[in-house]
Amino acid sequence: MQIAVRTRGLCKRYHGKAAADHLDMQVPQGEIYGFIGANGAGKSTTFKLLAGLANPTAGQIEIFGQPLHQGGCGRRVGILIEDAGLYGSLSAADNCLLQAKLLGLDDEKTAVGRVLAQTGLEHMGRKAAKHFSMGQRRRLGLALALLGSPDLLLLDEPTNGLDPEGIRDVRLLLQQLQAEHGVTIVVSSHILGELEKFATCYGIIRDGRMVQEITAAELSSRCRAYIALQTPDPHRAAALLEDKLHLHDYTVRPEGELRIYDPADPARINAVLLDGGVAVQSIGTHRQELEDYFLQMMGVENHV
Amino acid sequence: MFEVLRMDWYRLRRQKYLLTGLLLGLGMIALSYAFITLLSDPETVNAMQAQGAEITAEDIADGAALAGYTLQRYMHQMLFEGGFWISLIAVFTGVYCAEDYTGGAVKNIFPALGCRWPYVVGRALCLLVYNAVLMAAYLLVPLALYPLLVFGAVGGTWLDWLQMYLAACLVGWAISMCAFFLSTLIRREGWMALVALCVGTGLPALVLGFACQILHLPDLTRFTICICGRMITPDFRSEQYLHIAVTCLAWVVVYGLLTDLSLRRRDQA
Repeated sequence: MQIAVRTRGLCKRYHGKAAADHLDMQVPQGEIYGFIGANGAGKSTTFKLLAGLANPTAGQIEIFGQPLHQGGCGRRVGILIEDAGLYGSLSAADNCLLQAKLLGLDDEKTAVGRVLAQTGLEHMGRKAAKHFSMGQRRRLGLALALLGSPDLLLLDEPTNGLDPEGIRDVRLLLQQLQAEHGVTIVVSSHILGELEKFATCYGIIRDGRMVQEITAAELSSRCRAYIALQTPDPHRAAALLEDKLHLHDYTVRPEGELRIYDPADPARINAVLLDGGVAVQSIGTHRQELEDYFLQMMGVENHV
Repeated sequence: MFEVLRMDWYRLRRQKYLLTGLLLGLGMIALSYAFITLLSDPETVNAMQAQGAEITAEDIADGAALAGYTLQRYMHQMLFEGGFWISLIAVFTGVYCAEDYTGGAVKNIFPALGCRWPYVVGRALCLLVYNAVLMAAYLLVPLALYPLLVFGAVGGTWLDWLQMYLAACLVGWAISMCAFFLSTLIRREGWMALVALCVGTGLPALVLGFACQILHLPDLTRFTICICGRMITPDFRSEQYLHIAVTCLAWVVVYGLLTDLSLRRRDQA
């Protein structure tokens, strides 16, 4: 397995605080790597370090086997980090043309037309970028990242501010780039449900350190099955189930849902609760999602 | 490096830095000429004063002296004795360079280049070209319009005009590189414009002159960029020209190295 991005002991300190703390990261080539972490975990800092926009305090970074600051990767890497870097007085096409000239592309106008069409900005005309909505600015940032037909995309919340249709379009585009062109994509997002639809592996970061790197297949096997029970009185329901069925592995979620992780028969549970005078609004079996797994890794308990 | 030059040259044109620099500079030259031409006619002066205009004896003397000027003498006085063009260049190039940071475009530039030197050298070349184009326009447009002007003769030899042009390019380039360096520290257009204005009007030279006086040091202001701008003569004087060229080129190299140091020491985003 070839590695597109590798970091070893990567550290970055700002005013004594570690934004990246001995971060070891491996992104396999050709995969869509979902980079997940809470606010302030160090995702954006990591992206800046990988892009060469920030100097690491310690550690090493390799992009396609090459140390980062020896020659750079030029057109091989496309970047969208935090707000898109734009010249506000220029149009979308002009911003893209500038980047095309910087990248030394042969057919600039064709490349610009292609990326604007891919990101749905082909009809923006001469409108200055400073008048764009947040979603339009995000799309333009993505267009700039795609210009050089890169082999590696570093995308920090690319769907931030996009409408549902835009979010879907970005997902389909990234899937297409990975499937048809073998592009490696490192993408962060707080919309874990969306990320789960297309990421093939994940890295979970907390307080600047990598907590876990896991493939989508491994995640699926680790996500536990549970019985979800909706009832007006989840605590009484939990007490009854503990007493009658000896079920102890459960959580009560803030929205009043009782999740039972012990193996059990939903029909039996329903019968016990009805006998005990607890109304059951709904009951069914489910599997943990990425959000649940992430919260579990972060140590966030949902007991009430 | 040449990719940066192509990118910058395109942006200078699309964002109208080139056009604005040309119009402002030529506009100031034209306005000044128009005003002094009016003052050269006593009847016009009387009429203006009757309308309430405040015209000093110095203004009238300037107007009267115009009749004896050559175009070369007038352009030299207009451009190099006042030094407004240095402030104009400093502000424009400073704001231009700072805009890389205010809009966040550096996030696209540095990853594409992979290291700092193409950015520093490419930008330096672009600033040189920018200065060369502006100064060429400031000198060639009046030359082209000479038959319509009141001057008795063009004045000077081709060498005199060429040395004025080249010296002005070097001074403009040096002040632009200073603004480029400052933009990597300040990174805000508004503050950059203010600082560039102070630098372009010669405030550092003034402070240095004052310090030299207080400390009984030899006058070091002749090694500042703004004073070099005022040392440009209408006729070619090899020693003076060499001093301007060497000083300005030295400052270009110093500011280039300082810019690289600034980019190395600070994160770009």
